[in-house]
Amino acid sequence: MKMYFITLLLIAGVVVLSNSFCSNANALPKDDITLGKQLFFDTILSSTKKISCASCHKPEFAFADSSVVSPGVFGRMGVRNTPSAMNLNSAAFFFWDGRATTLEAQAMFPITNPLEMNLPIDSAIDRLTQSEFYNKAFQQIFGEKPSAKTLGKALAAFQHSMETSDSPFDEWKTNDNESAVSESVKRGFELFNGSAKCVKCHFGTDFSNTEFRNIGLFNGKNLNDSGRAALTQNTADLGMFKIGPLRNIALTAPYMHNGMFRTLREVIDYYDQPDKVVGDPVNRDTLLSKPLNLSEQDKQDIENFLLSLTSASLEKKRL
Amino acid sequence: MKLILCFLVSVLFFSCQQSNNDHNIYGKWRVKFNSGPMAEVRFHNKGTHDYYVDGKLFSSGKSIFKNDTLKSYDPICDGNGEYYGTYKIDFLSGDSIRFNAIEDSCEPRRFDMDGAVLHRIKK
Repeated sequence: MKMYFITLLLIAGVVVLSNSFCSNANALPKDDITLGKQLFFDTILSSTKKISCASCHKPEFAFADSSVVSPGVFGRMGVRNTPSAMNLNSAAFFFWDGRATTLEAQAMFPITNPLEMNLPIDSAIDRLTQSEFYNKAFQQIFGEKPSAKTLGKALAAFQHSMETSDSPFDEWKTNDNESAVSESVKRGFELFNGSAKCVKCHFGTDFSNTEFRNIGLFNGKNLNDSGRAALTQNTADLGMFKIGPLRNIALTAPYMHNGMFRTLREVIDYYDQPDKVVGDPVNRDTLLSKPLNLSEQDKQDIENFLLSLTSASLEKKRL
Repeated sequence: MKLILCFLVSVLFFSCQQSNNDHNIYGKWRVKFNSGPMAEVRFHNKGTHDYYVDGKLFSSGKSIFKNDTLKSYDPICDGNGEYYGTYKIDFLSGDSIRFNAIEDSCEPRRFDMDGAVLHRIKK
């Protein structure tokens, strides 16, 4: 009799627990950010149902990728390095060539790009509408069925929520905690703002500015990505790319639009002596016309400053 | 008589000192820039300043404050070398000031700062 009750109790427990897990798994998102997050990680938005936004924008790399270029559906490779999807609230343009001017518009490009998720927007909307879960979620949050507009809104809401301001650098400069960073970081910031001239392009809340610059990684030969010019058809834009934000930069290697630099030190070495790496640049910005002649200590200080821009909460999640 | 004179001189000295304390820009200020964002400005007595937008550092520069004049160097302004724009400061009341451009060829800064009213952030 006792055994019978224990067995019954166990069965009831398993039923209650599994119901609870199932209902949590199917719980509708509470707002546009949560819905956007779910979509961001869902492979439903790729033609093969094997790739999600997060396949290339990986949380452990500040929503960037550690590959030079990320593989899309069927292992297809693009030509540009995956930028971080974080800290974009101050951005005026998206993608290396700035082809989108809002996060809502940006969200549509990778879904339809044949080299990335390869799914026409109509098909994506059809899939979401066919999904009881997503259909209900969109109705509940936006008061309408899934559409390109609401899909963009949801993905953008999630990306808007991915701001970080809890780095050691923030602790030093914003919270006035002088001991939050080393003296080397402080010297690095001074160089960044001064003789290394980094601040001429990398300024603002995310050290990104909103402009496009040609830093000399286009020569029309082995480096033949013309950048913004392909979009604007303006020769003055040859080799120009969006200035990338620097928050969490330590997590987003490799660097530049083509991922040609594996480490921050390689980037710093390049800016110090650009001609040593690319001797025949086309249309390079005049800011890079003279070598910086940084000392070893200077380079280390700048690197330490860049490392200090890593969000403490992101770092914690990685450990 | 001597005592009264001493007393009056002391009062005068301390009130002048008080007035000088009011007329400084060091500390934290809130400002709505002409280009849009609300910002926090911090003037440090070591001769530097920081601008913050949305709780993040936007830019850092150097400043020289003397009497009612501020000379400001911001590395994000174009050009080589340390170019300082010059602004007259109106001390509107104990806790707000207004910048008026005297000379500044850095157009974005002039656009934001000329006529801007800053309100002191109390501790």
